[in-house]
Amino acid sequence: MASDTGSPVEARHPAAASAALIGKSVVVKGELEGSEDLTIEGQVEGKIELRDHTLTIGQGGRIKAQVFARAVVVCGELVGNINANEYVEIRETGSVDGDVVSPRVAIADGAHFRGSIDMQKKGPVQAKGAAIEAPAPWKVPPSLGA
Amino acid sequence: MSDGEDIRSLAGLWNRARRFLPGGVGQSPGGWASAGDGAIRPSKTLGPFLRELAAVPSPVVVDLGPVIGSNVSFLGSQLACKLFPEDLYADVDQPFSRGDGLASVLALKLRQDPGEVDGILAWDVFDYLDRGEAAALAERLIALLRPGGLLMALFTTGPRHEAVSRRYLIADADHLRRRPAPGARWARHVWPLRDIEVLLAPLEVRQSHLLAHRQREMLLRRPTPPGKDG
Repeated sequence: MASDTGSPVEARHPAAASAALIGKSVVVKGELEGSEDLTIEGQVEGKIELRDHTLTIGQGGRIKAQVFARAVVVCGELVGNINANEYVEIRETGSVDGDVVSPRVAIADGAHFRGSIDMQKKGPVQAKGAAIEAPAPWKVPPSLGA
Repeated sequence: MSDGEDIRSLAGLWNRARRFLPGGVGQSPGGWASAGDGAIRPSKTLGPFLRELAAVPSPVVVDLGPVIGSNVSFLGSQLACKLFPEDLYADVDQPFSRGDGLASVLALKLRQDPGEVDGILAWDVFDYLDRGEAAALAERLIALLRPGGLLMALFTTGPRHEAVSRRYLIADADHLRRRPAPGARWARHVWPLRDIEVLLAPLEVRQSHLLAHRQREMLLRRPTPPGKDG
C-alpha cells in the first residue's frame, strides 16, 4: 500500500508521505488492523485499529467504522465513534458523525461534527477550587504541518 | 512558544489584541472592544461556572451553541469534561415550517439521562424563543441537571431587531467574543428578571449581572435536596 511520490494525498497531508495508503478506488469491508500510520482516501466499512499510530482520513475518504488509534486526523467523512489516546483533529473539510473519546480534540471552523466529545484525562483530577488558567493553545503536530 | 502557535488559540489572539487597545476592555464604551470579526466583552458568570465545574471530576457539560472548535478545546483543557454540543441555534434559525416547531426538535436532541448533566451553557438561546418554546426548553434543561448542577444563560434587556444572531466564542475564562451569524429568527424577545426566574424555577439564582451592553448574565443552580450538599 505504498503511495506514489508527489501524489495529491502527500501534498495535502505531509504526514501521509511515510504512511500506508488506501487509495481512492479501494473499498474495504471488515476489520483493518495495523502497526503503522495509515492514510485512507477510499472507503472503509467496519472497524479500524491502529492502537499506537495515526489514522488520517483524506478528503476523499469515506469511512463507516469504529476507529481506535493513537491519533486521528479527519479531512474526509467519518460515520462512527473515534477512540484516540492522544488527539483527534477534524479539519475544515472534515465531517464526523459519532462520539469522540480523546484527551485533546481540535475542530476547525467549517468542519462538521455531530456527537459527543469525551475529553476526560486519565490521571489526577483537578483540585477543588483550582485556578482557571488560560487554555493551552492547540499545537498542530509538526508531522502534519500547519 | 512561537507567535504562530500563540495566535492559534483565541486566548492568545485576545491577549495580543488587548495590547493595542487603549485602556483595555473596561474603558471602551459599553464595555466593548472590537477585535477581528466579533466584539469581545467581559463575562461575569463564565469564570464562576468553570470554577465550580472544575471541582467536579469529569463533569458532563451540554453546550446549546454550535460546535466551535476553540470552545471545545478550551472546555477540554479546563474541565476534561464530557461535552455534548447541541446546536439549538441551527434549529431555532429554521422557520419551523415543517411542523410543531421546537417540540419536534427537542424530541431528537438533549437525550442525556435526567440528572446526568453537571453544567449547561445555554448562551442567549432563550432570546429567540417565544414563551411556550422557552418553557418547553427550560423544563427539559432543568430535568437534565443533577442537583447542584449549573446553568449559564444570557438575556437581552432591550428589544432588538438585528439582521444577525449571535454565537459566543470563549476568549478566556472572563471574556466572550460574539460572532455574528445569519439567522432566520433574529427578532429578540425581552425577558424581564421576574419572568426569567419563573421560567427557570426551581433553579436558584447564584449570580445575576446586568452588563453595560444591555445583556443580563445569569448563573443558576439546581437546588440540592436538604441534607445533601452539592
